[in-house]
Amino acid sequence: MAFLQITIAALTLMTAGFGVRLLILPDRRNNGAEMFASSVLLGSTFVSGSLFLLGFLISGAPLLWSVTLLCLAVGTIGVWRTGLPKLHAFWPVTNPGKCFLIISVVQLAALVWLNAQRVLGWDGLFNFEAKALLIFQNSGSVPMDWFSDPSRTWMMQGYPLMLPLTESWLFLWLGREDQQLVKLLFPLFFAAALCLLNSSSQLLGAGSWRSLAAPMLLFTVPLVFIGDGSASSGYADFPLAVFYLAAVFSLLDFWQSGEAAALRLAGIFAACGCWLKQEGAILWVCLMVIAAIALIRKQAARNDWLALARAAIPGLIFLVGWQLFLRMASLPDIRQFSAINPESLRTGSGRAPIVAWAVLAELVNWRLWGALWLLVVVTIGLLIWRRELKNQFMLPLVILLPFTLYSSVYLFSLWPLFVIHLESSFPRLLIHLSLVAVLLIGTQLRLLPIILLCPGRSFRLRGE
Amino acid sequence: MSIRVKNKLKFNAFLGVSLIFGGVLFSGCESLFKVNQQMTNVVARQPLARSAGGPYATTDTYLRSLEIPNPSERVLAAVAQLPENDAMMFIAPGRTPEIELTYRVIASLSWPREVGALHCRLGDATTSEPELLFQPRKEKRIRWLFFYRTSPPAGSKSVTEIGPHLKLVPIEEAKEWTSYCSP
Repeated sequence: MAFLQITIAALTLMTAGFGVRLLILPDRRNNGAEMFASSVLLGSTFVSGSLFLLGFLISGAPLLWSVTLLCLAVGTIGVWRTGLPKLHAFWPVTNPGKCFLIISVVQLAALVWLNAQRVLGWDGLFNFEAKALLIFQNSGSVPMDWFSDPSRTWMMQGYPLMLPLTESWLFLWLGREDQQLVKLLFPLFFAAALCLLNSSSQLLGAGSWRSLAAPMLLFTVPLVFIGDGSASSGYADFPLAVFYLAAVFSLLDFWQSGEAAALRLAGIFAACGCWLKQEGAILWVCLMVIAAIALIRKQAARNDWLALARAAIPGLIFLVGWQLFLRMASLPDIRQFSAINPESLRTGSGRAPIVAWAVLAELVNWRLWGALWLLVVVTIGLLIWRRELKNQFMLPLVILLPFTLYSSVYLFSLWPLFVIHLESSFPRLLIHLSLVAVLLIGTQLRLLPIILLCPGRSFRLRGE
Repeated sequence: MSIRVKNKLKFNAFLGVSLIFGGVLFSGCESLFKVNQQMTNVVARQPLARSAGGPYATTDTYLRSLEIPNPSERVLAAVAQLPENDAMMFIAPGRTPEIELTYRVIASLSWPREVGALHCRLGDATTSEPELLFQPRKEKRIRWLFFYRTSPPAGSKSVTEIGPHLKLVPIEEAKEWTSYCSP
């Protein structure tokens, strides 16, 4: 019975996401894998947003049924407005497609098994599941009292609420809290990641076996599966990585097709990341900057710039709205980083060599990352050597720009031992970039035997 | 080879594989269980990472230090009887990772009651000053004290023993916090 309830909760969520995706991009060609990923990501955003907003007006069963009806309505309107899409390859017919399915099933089975073996991590419990529990106990609406509770400052009251609200959606359907079943949410995000990796590889020009490289490479990154921030830990870091990958995928799509709707979708995915975790704001800024660089290089027309401005609106609305809400909720003032001023810059510059060394040590920590970051360096080196970096700047840049910002924030850490701060949180920040890194390696580096068997040069965007 | 023969061969191969796989699965349930256990030791080496399953899989694991069965349910049952507006204080002998973890789990389970934390630093040679780490809102009255691995004051009435290491004690008026830290 519990699995049935969880399934209904997940399906209503995905129905909403499916509808939203159809309404955002009604005229696009539809790829089954990409549609699935969009349904999961946009669905969780839609459900959490609806619970948050409607929760101010109603609670309990009326809230549950209102959100359910809203999800079904959005799905129906999406299909009604655009027609039932002709999904290509929802069930794979080609051999590479079948292989992709097998790879996905094996990885998902491994993740589900890991989820059953391990408990939620520290943040997974206290920053996300515990919040979901108190939202559930408050009949589905966010309790305003909690934000100003000084005895619970360790629950990070300023964090955005997408994950706790999505988890509370499962609890509302279950009718109780369940710390084990709630982890079933994460294989959904993982499946979305696999689908996006496959679709992105195909978008970058790999139509067959070579598009399997990135999903296969994912299996070689231990921290994606196990440890703090992984897909089995209950943290928001892995889902944020999936949202970032989706945003990058849409940006690449825009770069290739020139469709403004794809840029709009990139902006929406990046904005959803802001609703998931505070670092989502950094990723949103990076994505907007890279989109602007792409437009400058393309010598884009005024319409494209207008499209970029429109794509930035969802993120701006969220960031401003959330800050206003937090001010209203009168949160206790807890800061982990100092403001940027001449004094903090002077202190920070003294820390730079230590931070650089600690970051380097993290990148070569094979227990967490395998050879991932080493391969990223090799791939970028290879692009420079082939003189292809100028044309293929986008994928390296979506890794390097946030990486630089993430590393630099520790120059302003307020922790007395800032290296401890870095060591405890930096690996989780790198998870946000890990999926895009896997995509870069999988599409640009002919490392795997499967890729070595395939003739031809590395992939290149058709727009470049 | 005709299509019919091909199909028959395919069917036989499928049947054979299914039988072998099914046979291994049924005859080797115990071995599978053992393999699963061994693998658990690999992927969740630390006992604090290992899940026993169930709705309170994580909080039960994190409350292992209470040394009682179903610790989450026991804490929830004890707290459920208290008025939601009453605040509480969690008093512990020191500030170790285990104590921090126990405090946070108990505070999470006690929602919507506010739970402060007082670390007595008993037996700590370097600092002996008690540390009031988290405090409920001033307008909330602290009516209950959790004593974790430390004893309630002598003469305390209506002590609820949640386990050998955790006791819940009602108070009329909060005294000076340091007074609860007397060894």
